[in-house]
Amino acid sequence: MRLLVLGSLAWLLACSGPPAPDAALCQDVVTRLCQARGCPGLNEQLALGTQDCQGTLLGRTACGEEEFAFSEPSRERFLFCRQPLVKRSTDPGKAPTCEEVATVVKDCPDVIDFMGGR
Amino acid sequence: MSWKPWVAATAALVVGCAPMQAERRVERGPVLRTYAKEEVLGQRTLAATAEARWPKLTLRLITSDVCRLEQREEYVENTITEHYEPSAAPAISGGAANAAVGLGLLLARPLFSNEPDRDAIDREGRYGASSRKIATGWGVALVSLGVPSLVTGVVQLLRSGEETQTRKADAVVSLREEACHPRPATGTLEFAGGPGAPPTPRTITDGVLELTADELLTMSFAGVLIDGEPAAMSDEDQELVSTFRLCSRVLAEPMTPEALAKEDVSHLQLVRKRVVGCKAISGAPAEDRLKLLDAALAAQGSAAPPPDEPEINSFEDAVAAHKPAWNFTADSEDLARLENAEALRGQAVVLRGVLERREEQNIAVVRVGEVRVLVFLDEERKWASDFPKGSRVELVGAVMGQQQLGELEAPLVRALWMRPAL
Repeated sequence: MRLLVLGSLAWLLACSGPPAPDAALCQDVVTRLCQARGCPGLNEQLALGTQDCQGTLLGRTACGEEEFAFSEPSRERFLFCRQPLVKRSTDPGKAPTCEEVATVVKDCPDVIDFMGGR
Repeated sequence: MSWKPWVAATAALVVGCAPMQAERRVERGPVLRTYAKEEVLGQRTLAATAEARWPKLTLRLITSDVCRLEQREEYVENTITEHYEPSAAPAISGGAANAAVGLGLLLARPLFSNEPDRDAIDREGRYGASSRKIATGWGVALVSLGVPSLVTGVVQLLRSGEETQTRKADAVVSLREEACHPRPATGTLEFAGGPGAPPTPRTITDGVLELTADELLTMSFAGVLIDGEPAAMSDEDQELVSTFRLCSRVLAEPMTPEALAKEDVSHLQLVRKRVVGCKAISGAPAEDRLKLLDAALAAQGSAAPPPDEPEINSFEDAVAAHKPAWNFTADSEDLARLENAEALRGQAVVLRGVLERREEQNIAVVRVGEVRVLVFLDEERKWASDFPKGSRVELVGAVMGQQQLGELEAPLVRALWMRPAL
């Protein structure tokens, strides 16, 4: 029985690795939003205009830097707002749908403001 | 997330706690002994045996219980229980494979990278597990599943086999009911059957009833009862009682040469036959009477029938033995010969006709065409009483002359054999 409990525990632990740094987490969100740049209203919300999405957002948020750390919004808030974007898959190559992006825009104006440099 | 450990635990339990299957068969071993068991059923039988020693007839009345007699066999019975588990082999092979792969993964952990999978971040914000962690997880899971399965399979394999339990058993091989515990019957003995009023009942205390020939002269009965229960008697004993009763009359009648000289031959032969029958009774005084009868028959020019006279058991036997000189039927041309029966005296004939009536128990009137014939039937022959009035009969007989019986004067024929005719 003890062996079974240990086995199950090991199985669970084996499913995930260490927490990702704040910079990596921020870059992941930037990548996903930029993949959905074509969604109605997102370009305006992020005030991108014709600029390069990835470079602009990383520049504004400074999360391109290794020592970046969340302050406002917090890491927990960021993780919460990221949920709709990874609802279908955590694969970074898979773009979120416009509906999922719209949910983020609606529910997390603080994150959009953070991305928009406001 | 919480379903994974339950799946793992359930799978392990299903494999590890599989019950053994068992097949049981019972084999019969050698017989140890046979024995009889007697059980009294609470019923009673009453039987009578007859013993004749002139001038006494002794009836022994025996009452018995009815017992059920069981013949039983005691033997060795082997109960063989065969334990086996068809899943033992798959459990061992599957468990060994899982355990081996899992152990291999655990042993090879240093060969896997400890770097987390940075390509993706999960919903909780964590990187994917490193290859080493995944290998460890799989290794532990496979060992967790494989080892119990392997142990279960080995245990089941060790528990497989035959277990024999031996015990003594017994079985009934035959069962019958029979009379047992015989003892002399006591009680009030009544006589039953026979014409007229039955003889006075008697009280017997030792199961023995002794009757003298003189007593039997005035008695007529077919069987006896004790306290209302009829006593069973074998055919032989019934015949012995009947013979003794007949002899008590035959041997008691006064017999003088003068009286015999007046009797006709057929009557003398009939009496002689009855006296000969009495020789079967030990001590019966038959020899003197036989000598008188033989002398009377010789005086009338008729010899006693030879002791080796052929036994007649059928119509055909009678025809073969007596070779009938005449064959009388309704349309026979020789029928007129019967009107002069004295001329046919002593000759064997065949008659075919209708039994019209019985004048006495042993005399029947048979009509052949328009001629009526008196037929003397020997009462002691089984066939003599089997013919209803109006039935067609055929018989082989010996003509004894003309006889007057009441108003009817007709030829008298002594039947040697008679049977129904078509």
